[in-house]
Amino acid sequence: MRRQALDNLRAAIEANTERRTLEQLKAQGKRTVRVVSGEKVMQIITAIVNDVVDREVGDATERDRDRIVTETKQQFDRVLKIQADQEALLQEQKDLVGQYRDKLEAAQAEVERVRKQIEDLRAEEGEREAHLIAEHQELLRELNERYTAAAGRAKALEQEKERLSQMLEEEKRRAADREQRQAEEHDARVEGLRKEQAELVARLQAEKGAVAGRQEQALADANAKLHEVEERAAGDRDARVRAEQKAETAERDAQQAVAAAKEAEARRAEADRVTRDLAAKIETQRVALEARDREVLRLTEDLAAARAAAGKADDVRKLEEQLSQMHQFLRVLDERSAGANEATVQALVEQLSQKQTLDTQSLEAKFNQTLDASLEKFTKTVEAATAKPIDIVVEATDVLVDKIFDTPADQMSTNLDSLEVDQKRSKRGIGGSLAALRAMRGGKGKGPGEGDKKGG
Amino acid sequence: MSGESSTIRFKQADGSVQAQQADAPAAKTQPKSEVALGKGLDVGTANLLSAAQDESGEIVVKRERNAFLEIPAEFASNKDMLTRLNVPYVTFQNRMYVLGDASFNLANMFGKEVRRPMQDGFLSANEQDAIPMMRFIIERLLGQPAQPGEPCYFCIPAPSIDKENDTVYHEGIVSGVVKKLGYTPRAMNEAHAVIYSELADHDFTGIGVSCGGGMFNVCVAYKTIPAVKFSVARGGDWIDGHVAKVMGIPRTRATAIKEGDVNLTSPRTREEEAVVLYYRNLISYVLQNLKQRFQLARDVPQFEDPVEVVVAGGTSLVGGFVEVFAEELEKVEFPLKIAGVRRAEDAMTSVVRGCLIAAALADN
Repeated sequence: MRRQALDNLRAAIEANTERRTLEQLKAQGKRTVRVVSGEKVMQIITAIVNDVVDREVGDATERDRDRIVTETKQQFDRVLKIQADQEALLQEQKDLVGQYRDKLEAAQAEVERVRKQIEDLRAEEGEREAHLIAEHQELLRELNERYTAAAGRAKALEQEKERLSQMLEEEKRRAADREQRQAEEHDARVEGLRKEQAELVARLQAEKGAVAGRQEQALADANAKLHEVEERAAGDRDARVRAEQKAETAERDAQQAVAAAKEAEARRAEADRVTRDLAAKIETQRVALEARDREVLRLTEDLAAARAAAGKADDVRKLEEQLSQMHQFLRVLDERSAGANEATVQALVEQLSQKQTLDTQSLEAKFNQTLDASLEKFTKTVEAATAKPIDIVVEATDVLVDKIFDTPADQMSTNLDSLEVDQKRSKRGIGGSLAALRAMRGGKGKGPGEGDKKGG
Repeated sequence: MSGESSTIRFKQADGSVQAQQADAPAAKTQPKSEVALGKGLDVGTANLLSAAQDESGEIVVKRERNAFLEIPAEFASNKDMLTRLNVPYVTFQNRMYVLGDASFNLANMFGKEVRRPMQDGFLSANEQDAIPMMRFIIERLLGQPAQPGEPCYFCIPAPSIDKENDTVYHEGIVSGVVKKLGYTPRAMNEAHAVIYSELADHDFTGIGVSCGGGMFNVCVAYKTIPAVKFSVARGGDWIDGHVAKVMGIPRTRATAIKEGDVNLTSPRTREEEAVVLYYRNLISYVLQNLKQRFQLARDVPQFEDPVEVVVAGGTSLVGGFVEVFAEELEKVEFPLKIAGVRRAEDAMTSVVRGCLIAAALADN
């Protein structure tokens, strides 16, 4: 066989066959195989070609045979080349497919990575959002509660302020009326006192003048009588004795007149003393008024302290104004009372003192009452906000429990009586706790309950 | 959940740390008492528990899920099979209801949701028909009274400060159910029960916090007398809902994460971080409101010594809860001196133990 033909055959065999190891063949279940050599195959092909040529061509010459074989071989080489080209092309396609597959896997991995990234970001966002929403809701709830509480407090304070304003207005009106009445009464009384005083002075003066006049008249009469007696005495002793007697009588009359004058003088001195006493009493009353002024000042300071505690600035300011007005009124009273009669002024001052005390006490009582009422209301409001309700427990009655389910209990069937329940035992007893509780309660052994009420 | 019994101690102003005495109750066993009558009943949103003393003085705690499920009529005839499988049921008018834990198992099978008689700590307004179901569950847990009129203390939450609710209807119905079973019912604040259970060595003085699924209850007591008590309408369910919403995951998954091995001091994933965030928010919310209520309260006694804080309830079982609670408490600057924070020895049964103690005391 020619070497060139053998080489071509070898290439064709390699292109159209596969290598297998003996182990692979065994694995495929092949125990025996036919083995043929390349030379043998060439011989077979040559024999086949010769037969074909002989059959087709017949008695062809050696030259024709060689020509046919050569052409056939060339055709076979061409086919082999085409096949080799196709194999190469196929390998190229396989390589390309492999590359595309690698690229596809890489792209899929990238897609997976991006998708996971998106999921992570989404979860993070959701978490943040949920947290923010929870925070906002909590904040809104808190703000709403505070607003509601503040609105309630503001409304309560407003109502309280309104009520106190009305009370103060009423009090102002009453105080004004009272002041008006007192001023009028005072003026009338003072006028009366002045008139009385003037009359008294006039009476005293008239009395004094009358007494002096009487005294002078009596002296003049006595002198005249004495002169007459002296004239009569010159002529007649009896007349002189009668005249002496008349002179004695006149002297007695004169002494009586002097006594009367002295008495009038004493009464005048008494009137002066009373006037001095009256002035002293007025001074005393002025001191008392000053003391009361100090008391009013103390009340004012207490009022300021109470204002700080109660927090009702407007009300306190108005009360202070009232107090200062009362103060001024007292000063006016003091001035007006300076020129009055002793007893009347004393009565007037005492009356005014009582009224002032009453007014101050009344005002103080009124303020304390208002403050106490406000504090009590505040305390009740706080207690209402924080007080625990009284718990009342109502037990579902047998009737109610049966009515909950339409079918009466005796119409049901169950196997509960014949089944065991899962249970576990604990060696950790309750003796220590019970002993401690009994010792704590002094052995009274009452349970805690809910306010120690039964369930019903 | 880790449920470890850890205690966080606070350093006082003088630099001292409260004595370790308070750690002792977590380890020592209380002496046995003479067996007193009385039972405790914890009426919770997720679980109902009862506690009683047996003849030897040991405490027997029974638990049942507070749920029920109506199953299709075609299965209603297999009552014997349900009994053999220890599935409790009630039938009436050709309808069958499965009660308790079994209802959850069957719900998955029938593709239904269980029905809950209670929501957010109170009887559910949407499940009025469920009251008799709860009555059966309570009857199953309490059994017959040892003698007529045996005291039974049941816990109720305090009115919430952040939601319109009141205890009148809830307390009335539960009282009626317990009385109908032959007991003498009395109500007790849930957090107060924690104090009865856990603070015997501190003269029943301190702060008790019951961390439930529907709400957190708080009580500050001085020698057994409650000075401040209130509740907030947020609990484990609130955390689940918010975590599910912000993470875009189903609620059941959020619950599974929360009840898994998460530790609030070292979250590992973004979901766990969300759980931590909402736990801290809830704890801070409770403490801020406790501080405010304490400051506004009238007639509050003088607490001379630092007081202990005890937390209980299923929601407190998450890992790191005590540490986070202590951190948030220090931020709040509470008006009382705090000795330390610890979890109840058995957080799930602390409330019912407290009710039992109260009932046994009332028996005398």
